[in-house]
Amino acid sequence: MSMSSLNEQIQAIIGDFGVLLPEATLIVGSFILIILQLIFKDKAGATKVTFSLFLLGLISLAVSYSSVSGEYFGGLISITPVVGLAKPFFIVVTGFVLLFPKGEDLLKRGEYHFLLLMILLGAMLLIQVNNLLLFYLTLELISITSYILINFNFDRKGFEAGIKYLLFGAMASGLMLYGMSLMYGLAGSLDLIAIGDLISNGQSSGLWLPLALMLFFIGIWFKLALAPMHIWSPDAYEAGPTPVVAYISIVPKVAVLIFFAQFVSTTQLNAIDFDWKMIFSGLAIVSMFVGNLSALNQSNAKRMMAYSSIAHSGMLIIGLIVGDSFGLQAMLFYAIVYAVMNLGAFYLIDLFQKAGFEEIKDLAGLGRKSPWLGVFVVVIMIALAGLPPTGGFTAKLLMFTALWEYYQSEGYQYLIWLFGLGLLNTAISLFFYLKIPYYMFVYPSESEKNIKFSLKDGTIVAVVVFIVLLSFFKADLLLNVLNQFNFAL
Amino acid sequence: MVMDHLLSWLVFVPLIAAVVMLTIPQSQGHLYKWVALGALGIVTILSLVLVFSFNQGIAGYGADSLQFTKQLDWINLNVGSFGSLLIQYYVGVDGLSLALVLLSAIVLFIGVISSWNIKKNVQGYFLLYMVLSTSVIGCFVALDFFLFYLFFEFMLLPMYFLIGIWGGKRRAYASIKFFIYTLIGSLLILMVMIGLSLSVVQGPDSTVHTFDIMKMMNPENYLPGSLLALDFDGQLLGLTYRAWAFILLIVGFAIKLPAVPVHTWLPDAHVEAPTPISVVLAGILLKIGGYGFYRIGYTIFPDGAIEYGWWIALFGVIAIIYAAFVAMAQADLKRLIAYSSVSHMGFVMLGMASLTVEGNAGALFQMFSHGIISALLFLMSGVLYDRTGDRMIANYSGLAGKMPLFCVAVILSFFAALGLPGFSGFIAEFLVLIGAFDGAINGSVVDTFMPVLGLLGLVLGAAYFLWTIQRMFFGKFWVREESWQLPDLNARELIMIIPLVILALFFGIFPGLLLDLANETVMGFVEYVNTQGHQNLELINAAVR
Repeated sequence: MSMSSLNEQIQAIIGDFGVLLPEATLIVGSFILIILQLIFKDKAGATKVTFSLFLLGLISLAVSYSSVSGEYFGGLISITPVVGLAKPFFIVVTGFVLLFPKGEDLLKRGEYHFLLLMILLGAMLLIQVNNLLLFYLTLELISITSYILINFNFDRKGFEAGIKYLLFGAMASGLMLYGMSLMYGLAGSLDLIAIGDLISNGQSSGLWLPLALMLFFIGIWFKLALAPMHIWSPDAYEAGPTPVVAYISIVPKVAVLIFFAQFVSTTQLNAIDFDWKMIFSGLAIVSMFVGNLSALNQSNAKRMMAYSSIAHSGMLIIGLIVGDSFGLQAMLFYAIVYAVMNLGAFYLIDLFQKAGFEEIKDLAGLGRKSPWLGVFVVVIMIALAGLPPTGGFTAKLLMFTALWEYYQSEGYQYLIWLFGLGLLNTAISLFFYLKIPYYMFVYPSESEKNIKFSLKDGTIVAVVVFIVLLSFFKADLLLNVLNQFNFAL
Repeated sequence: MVMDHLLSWLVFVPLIAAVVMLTIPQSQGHLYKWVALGALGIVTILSLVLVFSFNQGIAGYGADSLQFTKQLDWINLNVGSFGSLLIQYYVGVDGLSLALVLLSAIVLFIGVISSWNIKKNVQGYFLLYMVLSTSVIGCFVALDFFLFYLFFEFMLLPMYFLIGIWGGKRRAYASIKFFIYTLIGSLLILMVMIGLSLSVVQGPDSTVHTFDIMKMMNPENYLPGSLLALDFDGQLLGLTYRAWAFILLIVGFAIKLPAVPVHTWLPDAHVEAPTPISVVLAGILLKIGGYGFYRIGYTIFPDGAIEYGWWIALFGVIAIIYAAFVAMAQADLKRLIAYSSVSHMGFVMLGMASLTVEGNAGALFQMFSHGIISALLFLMSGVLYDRTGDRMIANYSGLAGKMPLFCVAVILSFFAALGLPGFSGFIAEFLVLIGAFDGAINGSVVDTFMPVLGLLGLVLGAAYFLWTIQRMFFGKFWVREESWQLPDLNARELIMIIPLVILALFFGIFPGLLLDLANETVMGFVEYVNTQGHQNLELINAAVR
C-alpha cells in the first residue's frame, strides 16, 4: 500500500466523521452529564432531566443534518434510509422514558442518564454497522449497560436478576463470538459483504456455515428474548426499575431487528441452502406460546409484561421471516405501535407502583374510583392483545397479511402453521391482558388507596391512547411515513 | 339529510348518546336511562322509517339490489410493490338485513326498559349498552368485511363488561368464557378475511385490494393464482383453500350462533348475565351468527354452501334434538331457556342449508321470530328472579293462583316458543321444514331424515315447555321460602311484555308482512348460491384435477 493511498484513506476516514455527528454529540453530551454529576452529586434531578432532554434535542437536530445514505469508513458503516426513521424513534423513546412518574430517585443520579444514553448510542450504531466485529461491540455496549441498569435499584432482587441476566448474556455472547470466529474462518473476513460473497458462491462448506450462523443467531435471539433464550427476562423485568424495563423492552429489540434485516439483505441470506426461516418460524411459534401461556398465571404486572414481550418478539420476527419490503414495513409498523403501547403500559404500571400497588390483585376496584384511568388501561390492554379499534389490531393485520402473501408466493407449509397458531395466540393473550381491567372494574375494592392522576400523567397517557387509536382509524398516516423510509431492499 | 344517511344515523345515534352521557355529571344519575331510552327510541323510529321506505320490489341479490347504500373510502393502506389495501365505510340493506335491523331496534329498546332498575354504576352500564347497540346495528348494515369485523369484535368488549360487572355469582367465569369462545370464532373469521383481502381486487386489472363483500362475490375479481381464486390448484391437508376458508367461516359464526358442539358458553353467559343483557344476547347477538352465515359465508363461498351444506344441516339437526333433550333436563329456568335457544337456532342452520326459497325465508323468519320470543322468555325468567333471586324450577309450584297475569304471559310466550300455530315461531319452523323436505326431494344438499328429525325436535320442544308450565304454575301453591313475595306483573313489566306478545302474534297471523320484505332478496340469494355455486364447483374441480 503506497503512502499516497494511505493518506487518501485517512483523509476519507476523517471526512466520514461528519456522518457520525449525532453519535459524537451524544458522547460529548454524556460526558458533560458525568461532570454535572460530579458537581451536583445526587441532587438537582430536574436540571439533569432538562439537560438530557436538551441533549436529545441536539442529537435529533444532528440526525436531521447528517442522515445521508451511503457507505462510510471503508464499508464499516452503511447508512440506509431506515436509519432516518429509527434514530428519531429511539430518541423519542429515550425522552419518554425520562418522563416516567416514579423516576425521581433514578433521575437525580447522573449515572442513570449516562447509562440510558449509552444504550441509545449502542442502538444508533447497531443499525448502521456493516461488520460483525462492530456489531459485537455495539451489542455489548447495550448489554453491559443493561446489566447495570437492571440492578439500579440496588436491592437484593435486582442484584439476583442482574447476575442472572449477566451470566446468561455472557453465555449468549460467547456462543455468538464462537459462531463469528467460524464465519471468519470460512469467509476470511467479518465484513458482511464478504460473508455475502461466501454465501452467494454457493460453495459447499458442509455443515460449518449453518453451524456458524446458528451460533451467531443465538446472540440475536437472546437480545430479542425469544424462547428458549428468554429465561432471563421475567426476573429482569420484575426486579428492574420500570422505566429501564420499558426501555430495554423496546430500543435494543428494534435495533437488533433492523440490524438483522440488513444482515439478511447484505449477505443475501435467502440464497443459502439452509432453511433458517423454518427455524425462525419455529421460534416465533414457541415464543408466542411460551410467552402467552406463562403470562396467564402471573400475579405481578411487570412479570406478566415480560412474558407478553416475549410473545410480541415472536410476532415481530414474522416480519423478518417474510423479509420482503411488505414484511419489513409491517414489522416497522408493528414495532412502532408496540413501542407506543408498551410505553403506555409500563407508564401505568409505574404509576401504580408509585401509589403502592404491587400485585395485579391490589388494583381491585380502582376503575370505579377513577373511571378515566380505567378506560385508558382498557384501551392499552386491548391494543396489546391486538383487538380493534386500536393500532395493535392494524399492526397484527398487516403482519399477518404480509405473512399470508409470502405464503401465497412461496408455499412453505410451516408458514400456514405460523399463521394459524399465531392468530390463535391472540385469543390466549387476551385472557391475561384483560386481567388488569378485570380487577379494576369487576372486583370490589378492598383498600382505601387511590391513585393520584396528575395533569402530567393524564396528558401523557391520553396522548399515548390517542396515538394507539389514531393508528387504527387513520393507519394510512403512519404507513405513509414508513413508506418514505422503507428499506428499499 | 336524515334520509340520505339513514343507516349511518341508525348506527351512530347510540354512540352520540354515549358521548352525551359522558357530559352528564354523576349527580344527575337519573338522566342516563332517559338518554338511552331516547336514543333507542330514535333508532326504533328510524328503523320503522327504513322499513316503510324500503322498496320491496327490487329483485336479485348483490350490489345492485342493495338500498340506502353509502360508500366512502376510509383507510387506504399503501403497501409498496404489492398494491394497496382499501378499507371502505360501506353500508346498505337488503331483504336479508332489513328485518334484523328492525329486530335489533325493538329488542334494544325493550332492553333499556328492562334495565330501568339497574342500581350499580348506572353511567357505566348505559355507556356500554350504547356502544353495544352501535356495534350490533353496525354489524347488520356493514357491507365491507373489515367494517363488519370491526363491529363484530367491538361487540365483545361491552358484552364482557356487562356480564362481568353486572352479572350473577359466577359472572367472572361466564364473562371470560364468553369472550374467549367468541374471540376464537372471530379469529377464524379474521384468517379468512386476510386471505380474501389478498385475493380480491377492485376489478380484474386493479391492484387495489378490497374488503368489499359484494366484490368478493364475483370470481373475476380474484387475482389469478391467489390462494382463494377458483382456479388455484393447491391443497392443504386434502382440501382446497376455498373449502378451508368456508369451513373456518362457518365454524367462526357457528360459535356465535351457537351450534352444537361449540354452544357451551351460552348457558353460562345467560345464567350469569343480568336480564336485559340476556334479552339482548339471545334476541340479537345470536342472530349475528346466523346473519354471518348468509352475508359472509354463503355469499362469498357459494361453492362451499353446496359442498358442505349437508354437514351444516346435519349439525343443525343435531342442535335441534340434542339441545332439546338437554333443555328437558335443566333445573334452572334460565338455563332451560338458553338451551331452547340453541335448539331453535338449529332450525336456522337447517333452513339455510336446504338452499330452497322456503327454507331460507323460514330461516330468516326464524331469526326474527326467535329474537322476539327469546327476549320474551328471558324477561319471564327475569320477572321471577327479580322477586325471589331464585330460578330453580323445583322451588315453585302453583304460581298461577298467585300471579295470574304472569301465568298468562308465560303460557303465551311458551306457546309461542314451542311453535303453536298462530304465533310467529310456528310459521318459521313450518317454512324451514317445508323447505328442508323440498330440498331433500328436489335438491341434492339435504337428506329426508333431517326434516323428519327436525319434526321430532318440535315435539320435544312442546314437551319441555309444557312440562315446565305444569311444574311451576299448576297444582297447589308452594314456594321454597315462606318469605318470598310474589306480586303480579307491574306496569313496567307489562310495557315490555305486551308489545312483544303482540308482535309474536301479529307476525304469526300476518307472516306475509315480514316475508314480503325479504322475498325478492331471498329468491335472488337462493338463485345466486345455486347457480354461482355450481359454476364455481365445476371450475374448482377442473383446476384441482
